[in-house]
Amino acid sequence: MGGDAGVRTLFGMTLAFHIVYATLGVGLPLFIALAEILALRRADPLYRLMARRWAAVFAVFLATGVVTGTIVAFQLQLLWPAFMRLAGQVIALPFAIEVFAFFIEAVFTAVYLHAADRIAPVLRIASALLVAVAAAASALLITDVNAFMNTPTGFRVQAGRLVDIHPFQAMLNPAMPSELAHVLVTAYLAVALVMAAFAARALLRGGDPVEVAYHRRELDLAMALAVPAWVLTAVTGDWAGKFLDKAEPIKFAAQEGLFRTSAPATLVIGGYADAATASVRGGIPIPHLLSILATSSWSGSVKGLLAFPRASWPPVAAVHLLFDAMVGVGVLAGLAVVGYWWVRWRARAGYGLPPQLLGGLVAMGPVAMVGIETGWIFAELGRQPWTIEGVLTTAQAATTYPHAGLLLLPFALLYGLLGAGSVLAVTVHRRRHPLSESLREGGVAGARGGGREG
Amino acid sequence: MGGPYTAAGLLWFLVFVYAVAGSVDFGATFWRMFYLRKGQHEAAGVAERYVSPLWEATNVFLVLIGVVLVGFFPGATFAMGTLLLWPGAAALILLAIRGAALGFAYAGGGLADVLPYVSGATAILLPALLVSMLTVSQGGFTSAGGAGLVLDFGLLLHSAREYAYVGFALAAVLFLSATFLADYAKTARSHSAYRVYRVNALWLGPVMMLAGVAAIFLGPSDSWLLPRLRAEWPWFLGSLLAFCAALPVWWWPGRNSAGPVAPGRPRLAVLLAALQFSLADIGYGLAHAPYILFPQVTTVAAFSNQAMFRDLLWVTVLGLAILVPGFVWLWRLFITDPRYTRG
Ligand code: HDD
Ligand code: HEM
Ligand code: HEM
Repeated sequence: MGGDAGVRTLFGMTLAFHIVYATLGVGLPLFIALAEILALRRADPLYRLMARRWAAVFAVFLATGVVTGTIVAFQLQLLWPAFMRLAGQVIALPFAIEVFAFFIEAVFTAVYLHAADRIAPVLRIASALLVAVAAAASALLITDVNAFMNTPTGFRVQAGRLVDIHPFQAMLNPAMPSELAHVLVTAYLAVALVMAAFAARALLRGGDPVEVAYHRRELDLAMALAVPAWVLTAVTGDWAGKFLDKAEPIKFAAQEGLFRTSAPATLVIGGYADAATASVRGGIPIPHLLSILATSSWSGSVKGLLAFPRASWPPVAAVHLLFDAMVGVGVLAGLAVVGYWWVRWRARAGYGLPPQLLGGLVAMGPVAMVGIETGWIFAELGRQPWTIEGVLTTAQAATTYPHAGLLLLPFALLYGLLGAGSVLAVTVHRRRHPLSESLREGGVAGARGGGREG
Repeated sequence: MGGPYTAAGLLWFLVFVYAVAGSVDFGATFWRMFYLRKGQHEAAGVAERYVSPLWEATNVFLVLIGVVLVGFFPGATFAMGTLLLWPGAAALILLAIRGAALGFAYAGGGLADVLPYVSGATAILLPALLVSMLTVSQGGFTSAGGAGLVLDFGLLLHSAREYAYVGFALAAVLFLSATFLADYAKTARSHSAYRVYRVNALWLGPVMMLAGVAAIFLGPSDSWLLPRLRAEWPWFLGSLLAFCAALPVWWWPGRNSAGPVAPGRPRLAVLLAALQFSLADIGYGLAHAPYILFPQVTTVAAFSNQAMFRDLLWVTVLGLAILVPGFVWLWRLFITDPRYTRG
């Protein structure tokens, strides 16, 4: 750690905070749009109510995502001036296109939230869908900058100057396909599980039959979304891993805690990857598995960290554990998805959901967010000491301004305030508008039989 | 002309759009707080109906300016980033608090009583901070310390020019938003709110003009900028004429006048104010054009490469073009649709 430790902590804190709301901002509009479509297709007022209730939550989280995103955008310039000077010359396009995605999101969010009752249902659904598409696009575009940082292309450095600059080539860098795909599907997986957690908690509390019916639909919808998202998370994660093995072998070796180049290579789950002794203490070894995962062959060769200079290693122990934590979340998510649909299928008619299952789903909500956080921190930390792999180190990228670390406190206070405020706003809203009352207002109560139908 | 100045022109156009849209946005947030406090709920309600759906779209313009600055003038980003760390961070925190307070209000509930005060108070501090970046960019407040460029706060805080600019910014924000809200209130047929904003626009206009003149002439007499501003006098004359032309408009009997007590054609006043600001903006922009940050960062030296310039120009122009229908729809849904504006 050099003088840039304060800057790194500050920026990491900002992104770690933003990413929670950004992820919710990507997933919630899709969920709302699906509920709107179901409301129209099945003529079921409960789905319309669901969309309306989640729209209020979305408004709060979106605002937090927008203001923290604005902070990220300008902190990039304030804290990483050297990075931005290079980025501006090579990879400014996704940043710029992203802003237009934000515009589209802002326009249709305004329409959906504030004019829903003045436009035709089809336009309302179209607005919700456009919010979802624009949110996904903005997430993908910003992630593309990150992919560029992992595999920079589209320029050459000649005598300290950037030459041969091709902005579109930089945008279509090699890491883009796998990283973008993985980020998008994990966002949907995480938000589906967060929604499921809310619904499961409401079901644990009980209520009258219509309320139960409402939350059952909510849970079914969330868990239905979770199925493809989970499958694709595993597929794209595997893809990203295989890509890393080729394009970022140091990050890959660190993520697996692999020091010696081996064929066949053993996968070690958990354990403390000790850089000093170049060995993993503890952990569960599974012979051959790493070769299979990285090279799709029984005994393919995988490069270890010792094949690279010590100075280019990231903090191995942390990277390995963060990676395993992320994959662990993936495994737990799989258990939740499979477990839920198995129980659901076993008891198709008149099903009751066991409280243990509901309790597990409640816990899965925050755990899914942990997956997002550990995934990002792993990806960023794993690239150290580089900010732009092989081109610009983190120490070079950081601002030369002394005492930038003093900004940590005010921003930490701000995020505390925003975090607490957003939760409070949602809680107050839910308390002010309990479901039973919304049902009565919507004229839904009694219209439906209640808990026994799916 | 050529690359750097085309890029600077586009950037300056975006600054202009944000200056106007942001002024109305910040000003309306402030007026809402102000009239809530005074118990004039109609005037507060008009301001709220404007701000609630539209603040996010306005905020995006700010982000766009940052992004376009980075892409077109990476060299400037570097200097600005180092120089503006503290004021920039302060502005970000205020911006975040204001945006969050606006967003949380959508959820309603008990918070709704305090949030307008939070957003209103932060909204009125922001223009002061943002305009300081303009003062700083004129040069004279930087010292090249050991760590590169450093902003000399003492000098800035003791500068009469800085306070004149802050005064100008506040007056301009309140003047523009009052003019706009007067028109908005008229569309909404909210007579009492119209009267309130009409009077505000009338007295704030001259205040703003005085502060603006002071801001220009309080600089050091040997400043690089002053002679260049003088050379652009036709633009400023045009701007002044537009301002003067807008005054009698407030006494014209409107076609569907907002009642016998308060005459005026606020729509015309809005258009003239926009004309006034665009002319002054062009004049100032042309005078300031050779330097992004005087004297260290020139427009030509900070410029990006041709490839990025070309691609980014296309992306920006195309993006703005695609957005126009979106803005038109927003305009019709939230500004001219009486079903919405009347609440
Ligand atoms: C719910 C969240 C979540 C879950 C369950 C997983 N991931 Fe993940 N992963 C992410 C959330 C995430 C992320 C936050 O989206 C990251 C961080 C940076 C990025 O590109 O995506 C990521 C990055 C990331 C990378 C690094 C990409 C890079 O650095 O460029 C790899 C190799 C994997 N993941 C592999 C997996 C595997 C094999 C998983 C097993 C199922 C898995 N991930 C589950
Ligand atoms: C360095 C990284 C990032 C930057 C510079 C950044 C920038 C921004 C900015 C400026 C905004 C607010 C835009 C507005 O004014 O409307 C924003 C919001 C948003 N960001 Fe980020 N962001 C970053 C990381 C991410 C990541 C990694 C994701 C997703 C995986 C993401 C997804 C979003 C989304 C979807 C929004 C829209 C608001 C919302 O829905 O919550 N951002 N971001
Ligand atoms: C939103 C999810 C993200 C999170 C949680 C995240 C987290 C972090 C963390 C913790 C660091 C500090 C690393 C360290 O100190 O070792 C960091 C560094 C950094 N990240 Fe990310 N990051 C995210 C996405 C992005 C994206 C999308 C970009 C690109 C636009 C980006 C750009 C940077 C830069 C420039 C640095 C500083 C240099 C470095 O340490 O590599 N990050 N990030």
